[in-house]
Amino acid sequence: MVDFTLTDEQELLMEGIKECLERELPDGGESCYKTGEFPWKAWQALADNGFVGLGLPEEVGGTPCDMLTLAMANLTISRYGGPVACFYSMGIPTMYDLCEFGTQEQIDKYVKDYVQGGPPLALGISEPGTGSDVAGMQTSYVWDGDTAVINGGKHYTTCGAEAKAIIVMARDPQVENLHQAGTMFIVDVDTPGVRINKLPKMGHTDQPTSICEVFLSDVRVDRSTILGVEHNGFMQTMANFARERIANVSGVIATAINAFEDAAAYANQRVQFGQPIGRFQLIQEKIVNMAIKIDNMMNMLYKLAWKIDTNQNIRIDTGLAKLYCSRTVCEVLDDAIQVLAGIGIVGEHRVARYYIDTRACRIAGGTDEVMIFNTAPQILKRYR
Amino acid sequence: MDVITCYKLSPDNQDMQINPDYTVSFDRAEWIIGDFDLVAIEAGAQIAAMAEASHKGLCVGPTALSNKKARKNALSRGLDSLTVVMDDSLWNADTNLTASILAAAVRKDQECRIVICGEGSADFYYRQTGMQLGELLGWPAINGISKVLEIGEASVTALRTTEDSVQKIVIPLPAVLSVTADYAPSRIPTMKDILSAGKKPVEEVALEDLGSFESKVQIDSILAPKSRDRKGIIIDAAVDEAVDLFVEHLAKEGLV
Repeated sequence: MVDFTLTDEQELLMEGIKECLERELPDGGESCYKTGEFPWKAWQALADNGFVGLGLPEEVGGTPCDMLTLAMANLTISRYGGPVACFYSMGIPTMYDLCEFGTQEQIDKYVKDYVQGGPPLALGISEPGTGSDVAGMQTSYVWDGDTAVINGGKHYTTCGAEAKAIIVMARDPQVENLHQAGTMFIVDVDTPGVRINKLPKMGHTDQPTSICEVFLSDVRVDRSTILGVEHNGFMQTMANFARERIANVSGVIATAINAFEDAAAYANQRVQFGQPIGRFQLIQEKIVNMAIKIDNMMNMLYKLAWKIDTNQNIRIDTGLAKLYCSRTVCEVLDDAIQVLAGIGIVGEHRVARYYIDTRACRIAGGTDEVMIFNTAPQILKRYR
Repeated sequence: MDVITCYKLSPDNQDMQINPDYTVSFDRAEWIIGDFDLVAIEAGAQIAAMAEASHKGLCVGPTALSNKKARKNALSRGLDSLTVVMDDSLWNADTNLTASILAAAVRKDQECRIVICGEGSADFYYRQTGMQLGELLGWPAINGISKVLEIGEASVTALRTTEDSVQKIVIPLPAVLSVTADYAPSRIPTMKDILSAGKKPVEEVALEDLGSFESKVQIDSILAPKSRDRKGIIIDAAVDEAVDLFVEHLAKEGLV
């Protein structure tokens, strides 16, 4: 029998995260989007209560947990934490990378800092000329004795302005096979030659968490900054991919649930032609469609997490979940705006912000098209 | 020394349903620890830490107390152990009945010198149980405790907040202290607290093992107030005139 029941501990954990965030961010973090200030106090409170270290090893101050618990935690933080969720979502892939491939010194320096309330590391993979197409990567490094000299630039680096260090992927031009030329370096943002610019985002120019361009000009780092094994960077990127997808998917579901709840409450409250608009069938259809879509997304998330927790192959599932949930959240938000009507498009309703911000989820972390491009051959292969 | 904190599990008011005959149904309600009692547990944890004492929870009520999640919730917030007295006859128990059972359970713990109660329960907020518990135990019972300053062998020094003053008082031990709602913010359980809560000892005590008790109050019914249709009167006028018209409407209804 399929069992969707969360354990007492999982439920108490979600209630604890909610309680913590409601206490520290009573407005769900909405004011941060006006001031552009990151709510460090709320992030610290999550860290103090051990929620930031969820899923990470005990040796670094974390608490190991299964993927479903991690997914539900990210969903809860995304529902109540506003910009805090961006840190958490970035921490999920980068901190796992560090724990899996990092040296003890790197783990002590970066993971312990994160678990205690520091920012996550940023990921410097995409470049102005390349994103998912790793073969086009231009950022490169050469050795000068035991010092790597990195030159190039990164684009769309989430949290680049808040992070203390960036995991930079650079290629060794001496290696012909481009897939075996990438090396991950942990580059502290205050290293000479590193310059970071915040990029304006669609709809908002001043956000509490940033997307940045990173310029790397004769950046000199020693061999100890290599994360994992030299030339194994691209393989390492794939290793914790599932966790990044879980973060993507659970984050967008949280947005969909919040928007749906706002729309449903408004449908009960807004009176037109002598009755709440929720009594009109055209509004009811939107409410029902939103509920179905959220249910579908939740089921996909549960199944994906369950497959990871039971060590099943998820190569197809991650792509399908990322694609479906990224598209579907946009449909839910569109319906939510339609139900909210006027108040959804004027003023500062959070659903209006979601509508603009969430469009990026069909691009960030792999575009819809890349999801299809990567997943379709895997599906077709089954039927050859 | 043991510090015992008493708390009540009650149906979440947000899940309350009003039936067409105005009776109130809690059938679908989740049973929760009220906010006042969460503060009491936190106060108890801090006071126990000051006294280097064990912190024990004590909960009396109907069989809804068998809810394991609610137990773990309490145990994750600073309790070392929990004693539960469950019996379905205790549904809507009055304060005297509750206090009598609590007193019997407290008497079984020879090490207990301090009992902590919340400001009032989340459902009826009678603010009586702590006082009656003290009387039944023959211990001093003080309410309005907003801060415990010092715990000695024979007494506790504490601040008591009244409507217009803050008193510094010395209370001989053993004693029952009812703490204010703002004694301390209740702690948010950490992941480790949640995971360890399920491993802490829980003792279930049968009501008959504590003696025989009877209710002093009989509740005939609990009814929701009858709802009234809105009048739908909209006053569209300048401020001064609108105020006059507003008062006029209230007067017509006999409300002023």
